[in-house]
Amino acid sequence: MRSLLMHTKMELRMLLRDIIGLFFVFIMPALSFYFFSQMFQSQDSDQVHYFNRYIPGMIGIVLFTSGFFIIGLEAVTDREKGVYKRLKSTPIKPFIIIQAIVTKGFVAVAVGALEIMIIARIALSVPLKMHVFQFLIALLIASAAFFAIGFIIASIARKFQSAMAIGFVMLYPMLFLSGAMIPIESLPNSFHPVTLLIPLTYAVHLLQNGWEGQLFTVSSIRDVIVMLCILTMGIFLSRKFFRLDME
Amino acid sequence: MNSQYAILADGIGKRYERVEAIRNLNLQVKRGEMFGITGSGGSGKSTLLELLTGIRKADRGDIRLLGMDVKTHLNQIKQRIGVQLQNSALYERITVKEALQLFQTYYYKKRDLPDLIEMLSLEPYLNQYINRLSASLQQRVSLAVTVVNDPDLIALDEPYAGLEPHHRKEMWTILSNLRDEGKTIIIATSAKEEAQRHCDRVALLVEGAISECNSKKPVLTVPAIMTVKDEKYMSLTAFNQKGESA
Repeated sequence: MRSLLMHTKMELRMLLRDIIGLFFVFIMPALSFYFFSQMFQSQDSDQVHYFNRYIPGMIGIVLFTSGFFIIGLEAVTDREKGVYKRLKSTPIKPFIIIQAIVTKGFVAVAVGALEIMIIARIALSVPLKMHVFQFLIALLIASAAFFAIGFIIASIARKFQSAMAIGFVMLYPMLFLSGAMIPIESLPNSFHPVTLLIPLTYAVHLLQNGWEGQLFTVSSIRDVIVMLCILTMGIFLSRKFFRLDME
Repeated sequence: MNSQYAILADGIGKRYERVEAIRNLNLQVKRGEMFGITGSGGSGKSTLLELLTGIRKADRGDIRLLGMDVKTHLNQIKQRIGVQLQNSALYERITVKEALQLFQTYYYKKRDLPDLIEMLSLEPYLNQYINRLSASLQQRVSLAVTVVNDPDLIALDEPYAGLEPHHRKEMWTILSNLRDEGKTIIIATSAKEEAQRHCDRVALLVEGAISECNSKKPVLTVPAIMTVKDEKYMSLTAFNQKGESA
């Protein structure tokens, strides 16, 4: 237990010292949130409706960047440098290392989500009309799925460069075609089928439903199924291919 | 009889696809001994060290560490050994002090931290990030982390790689002090001359088998390590067993 606490504490400290992670999880989503809201809020006459969709959407981006940069990329980097190989020679159990990484991911998501809400409330003076409980459940399900994506990436990529390449290939469609930053309705019709191929589309929709109190409705079923499928696939692939020591 | 040995390996072998990394190898290292494994790159030094410390599983053979079988008592063994492998590293964005504290939580037995810090002269660097230290300091920190649990057996793979001669000398002195505390030390290194100068015994590994073993001191009555393929070995071992029990 002491190892788990200490390891988690250390992971959190390292998160605060990780420039790439901090930028993509806390700075980039916050700046994007502010600037994109200035660009698109005027397109919706109902401001509350706009932000009820937009805030959870941007929290979806935080989910993706946390899953990728905080979990996937970090695991690849530490493994490549031989950190896990070093830990392998100690009595610490691999599940403690993984548990600490996942806890760090949840903390990053929680802080990133709070940051978006604070910007909305203070900088943009938006009233936060959310269903806390439903939103938290949606956030938990979507986080688990995106952390699983992080572990899938860490299972596939052996090197930092390959992980980064995968991340950037995924980043732009996730940002612009998932409905997180730009409402899907604003996209050209030809892009709509593509949005259905992007996992974040379902996460964003689920978060929006949770935010608006629509989580336990038919409209969320497809999103939950997709998230659970990703989670299951992530667990299966990670168990099969994810190694703390790739050698 | 086994208790006098820190390491007892009997007929161990390891194969990576088509390459036989370790071939039917026998090894006995006494408690309190500083034992060197030398050989050229790809001779199997790292694999042997990883097999001996239970980090990799041997395809065949038996290994006993500190009197315990690595197959059945790996967790207990890990509590009592300190291992520094090649191409392994510490988290970069933590300080020296944080690294020592983190690794101490993994073990039941802990070496007194101020004593360890003093022994390795780490006091001025405690609050510095590991990745900002020089190579020699990083090696010293790595060694500090390796012995943070006051291990009975210390296994080091190329601990001198990339170090200047005076830093290498300094490291050998630290290891000699640890040996004087009664710890068993096993070092895999490509620096054969240095190993022969400092270790009690040195084995030369060639293509996964020990081709020769030299003693600085007469630790065992006859060389205790050879490959089984040599029939003479069998008679020598029989002689050695008698000699040991006598």
